[in-house]
Amino acid sequence: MPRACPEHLPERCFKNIDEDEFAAQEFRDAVIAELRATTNLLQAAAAYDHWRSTAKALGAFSAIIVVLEPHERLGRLRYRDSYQSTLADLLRNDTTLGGADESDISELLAWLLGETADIEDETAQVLFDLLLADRPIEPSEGWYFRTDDHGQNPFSGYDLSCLPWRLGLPFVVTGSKYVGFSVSGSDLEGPRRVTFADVAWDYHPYWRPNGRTEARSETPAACEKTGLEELLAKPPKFSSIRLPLVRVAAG
Amino acid sequence: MIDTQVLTESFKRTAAGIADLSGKTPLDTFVELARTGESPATDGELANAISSLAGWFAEQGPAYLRLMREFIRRLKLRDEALAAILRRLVKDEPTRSDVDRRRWTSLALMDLGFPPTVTALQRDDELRKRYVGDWLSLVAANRNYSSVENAFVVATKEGIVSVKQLCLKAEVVRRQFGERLANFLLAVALALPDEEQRIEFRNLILKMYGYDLNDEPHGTVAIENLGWLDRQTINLLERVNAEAELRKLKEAA
Repeated sequence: MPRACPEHLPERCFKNIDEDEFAAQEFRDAVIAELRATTNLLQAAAAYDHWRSTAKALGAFSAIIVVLEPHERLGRLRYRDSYQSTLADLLRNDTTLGGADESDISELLAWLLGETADIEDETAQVLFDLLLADRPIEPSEGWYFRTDDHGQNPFSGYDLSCLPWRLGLPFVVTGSKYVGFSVSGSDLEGPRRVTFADVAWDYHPYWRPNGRTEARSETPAACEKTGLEELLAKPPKFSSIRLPLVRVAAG
Repeated sequence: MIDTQVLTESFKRTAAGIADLSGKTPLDTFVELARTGESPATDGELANAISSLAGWFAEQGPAYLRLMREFIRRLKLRDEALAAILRRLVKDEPTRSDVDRRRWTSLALMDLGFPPTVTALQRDDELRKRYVGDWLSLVAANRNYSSVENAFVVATKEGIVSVKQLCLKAEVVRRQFGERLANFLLAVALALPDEEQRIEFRNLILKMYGYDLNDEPHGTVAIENLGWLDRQTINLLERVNAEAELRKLKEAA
């Protein structure tokens, strides 16, 4: 029997769950039943996020692992300014280092991006090997995109300034700066399909199920409006990343 | 003109963990639009907005003070009045007795161009031992080279500074003090508590800067400039200098 959208739920949220073919029917039924038991939007949001975090903590989801092409590379986009803080946090958690502040690594990040930086190449290379090479690029699972050609450069063949729009990032504005990582598929651990259970309640207006991003409605006219295939995976180590990192500015 | 309510909301939503899949937060968006939006805010307006909220940030906790610090850092604010407010904040509760609040407020002061003095930092033993990396960044932001070097040397001798940390901070010192880098490297190399660490540090510095800390001219230091060192270290430096002199004489012969 088809599932019906509870009256107080936004239709898009409901559809994202209802139509998610990567999630088992029983999970879709279960979360919709939970949402039906609520009486307003606030309750629904709280019930959804509670259900999601409990189910994830219990390991209730079976992930659909994606087999990648032997030589293909995938892309990962991080907002540049907050990525510098993420990088500092990775170093802060290193007890053998004794922590670091983001002001310590701003030039190293500029070097990683191939920008003119106040650091010599030799110095930057030693610090990279010493502090970053063996470290994952971020602390937890990240969202990776895959180009349709499954090729070796996920940042080529299209207008890069359109990428943040095509990925459907909700906070993108013209001029937003991002760091792009080109990652070999063989360095990604457990690449898997994204399901509604990976998506926080607030994020549903920007997400579509079944494996592709949806370009933002405000995407500049000159940009392609097609989304890109998306996957979730554990982060690779810096040593496996292609340098320099890619600079992306939203058009 | 800054809408303080929008700003406060951005802080709240960001502190609640809201971010898009690239890690961009509502506060990131606020910061971006403050500079590039249709009616960009002036530094004075931004500093005033933060000044009016600083006490509230301190009440909310370290996570808010950290966001305040990121706000100041990204917008490159340099505002003496805001610095005065933050200095007062450090002296008052709840910041005074909370090392995490002190940490972020002190880093915000550093970004404003008014880092806590080395003397004040040396008194904050809890901050030094809990967050030595941040503590050393705060120390290195001071302008008095001798006191910066001294603080590094003392902490290094105590064994709380790793070789990796020294390599990272060497770059911070180079940017701050330029030509004093060689003095700094030699001083901290000598302060490392064990030989294995000293060798590791020297090898890394050789790769980073091409400086051979065993070699001249960097193997000798003007001991008269190092009067604050203890007698044992001065003896060691004198021996290093003497050995370098001896090598020079042998080579000349």
